[in-house]
Amino acid sequence: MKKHLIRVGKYLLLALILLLFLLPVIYMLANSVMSSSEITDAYTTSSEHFARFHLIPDNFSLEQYYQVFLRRPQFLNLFWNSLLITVPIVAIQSLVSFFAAFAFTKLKFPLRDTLFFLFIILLILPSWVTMVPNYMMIQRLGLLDTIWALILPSSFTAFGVCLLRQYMRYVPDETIEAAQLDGASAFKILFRIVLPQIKGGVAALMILTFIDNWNMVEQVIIYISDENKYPLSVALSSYASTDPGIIFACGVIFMIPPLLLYLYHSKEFKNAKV
Amino acid sequence: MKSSIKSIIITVSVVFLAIIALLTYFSGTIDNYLLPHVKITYGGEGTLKYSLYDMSVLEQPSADSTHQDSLRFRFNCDKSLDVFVQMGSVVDCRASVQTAENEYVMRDGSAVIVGKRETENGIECTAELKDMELKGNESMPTYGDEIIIDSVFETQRYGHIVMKSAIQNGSYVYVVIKDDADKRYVAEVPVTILAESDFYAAVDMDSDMLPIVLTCSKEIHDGQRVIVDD
Repeated sequence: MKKHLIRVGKYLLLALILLLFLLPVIYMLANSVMSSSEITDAYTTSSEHFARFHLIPDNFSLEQYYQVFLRRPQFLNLFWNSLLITVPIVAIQSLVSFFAAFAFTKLKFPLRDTLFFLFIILLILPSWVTMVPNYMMIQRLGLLDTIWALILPSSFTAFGVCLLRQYMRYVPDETIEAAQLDGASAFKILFRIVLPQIKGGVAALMILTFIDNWNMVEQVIIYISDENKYPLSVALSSYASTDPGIIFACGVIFMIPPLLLYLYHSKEFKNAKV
Repeated sequence: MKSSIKSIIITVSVVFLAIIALLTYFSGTIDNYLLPHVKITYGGEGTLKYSLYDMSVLEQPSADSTHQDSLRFRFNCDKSLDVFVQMGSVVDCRASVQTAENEYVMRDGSAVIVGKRETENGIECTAELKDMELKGNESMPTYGDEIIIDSVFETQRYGHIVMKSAIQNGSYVYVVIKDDADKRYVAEVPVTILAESDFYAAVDMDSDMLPIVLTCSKEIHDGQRVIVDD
């Protein structure tokens, strides 16, 4: 009986924690189907009062979605900007990390471990430290105010290399040697022998990179001055104070691509072992 | 099972992106369809005109009048027309004289407004007949004859004359402004009505030479984007 009670208590605690984590998402979904007047009422508060917190709409309304999809096409353009920035970063970073991790794990060359150590140092450096040198380089290359100013610095990170290196250490050397003996090319060994064995790691890297860059804000503000090139992540923060109603509907739309990517790779992500 | 979930996710992703792509591609068309369409007019400098058609009877001047030999008549007008009917303004009128055969002979002439006073029903104006043109062998009108007033009054010149239908709630007009991207928005501009005729009003407003919204296909509000119909 006591065991049973402890178990129920554990589940209740877990449910409470789960609710706590999901609350922002539930709150966003609930607010996205409220009318703009209801949202304005809830957020227009005097200094003595907190915003009116309620999860069940007084009047169900798809007005916010109507506004985003049909009346405010600028939000759709911003959505495509986000995709245009994030997808190349994920693709380039996955590919570069995969090759670099293979080199640091399976190839034998002088100072390999020292170079990897330097890579680790890059990993622990805060991104703000590299921001100024990056800015100067981008300026010299004449890439300021272009999407390449966002894509290039984010495409080459030490994190992806470190992550995939850990996965690659578990790929037996024998499988690679056997493939080499069978006359497989380097390309074939990488993509037909190594990649299937570290699929979970690549999926994890893709999801994490996507989420990280999908939510990009600081780099955009620093490198891009043309607001038409801003991704949705920046617009969400700038519109939050002036148009809270729209932001909830935009937030739901903004949430869909990472969610779909996660669901697609969820199996590999859950089964991934380092 | 695993592959079926993946194929569902791919299908959902493709549909989602296709919908967003279509909405983005046709956003201009959708926007133009859903935005309020407005017709515009331009306010300009000018005068207001008011037509008066009324009948009166010629009468003798009062005892204290300086022009004892003049013919006078009175007519009433609405208080709102006070701005049109000013002292000294000229009234076009025709006099009709009743003959033995009950026929009326009309003569063209004019009169000058010599008196104005407020009454319960509005404003009573007194006009003095002058420049009466005789036609043929007609006799001059005299006391008791009927007079037909058929005149157009004109106000002083005003800086902004706009159509009355463009004035919202009697206190503001919507003007159309253009942004850098050539998109048009409406802005509320407060106005003070100085004088009005049947269709036009003289107003005091800050904006000069901006197109004023005359009619719109949907309800509009300050700052709203609109399409201007040619």
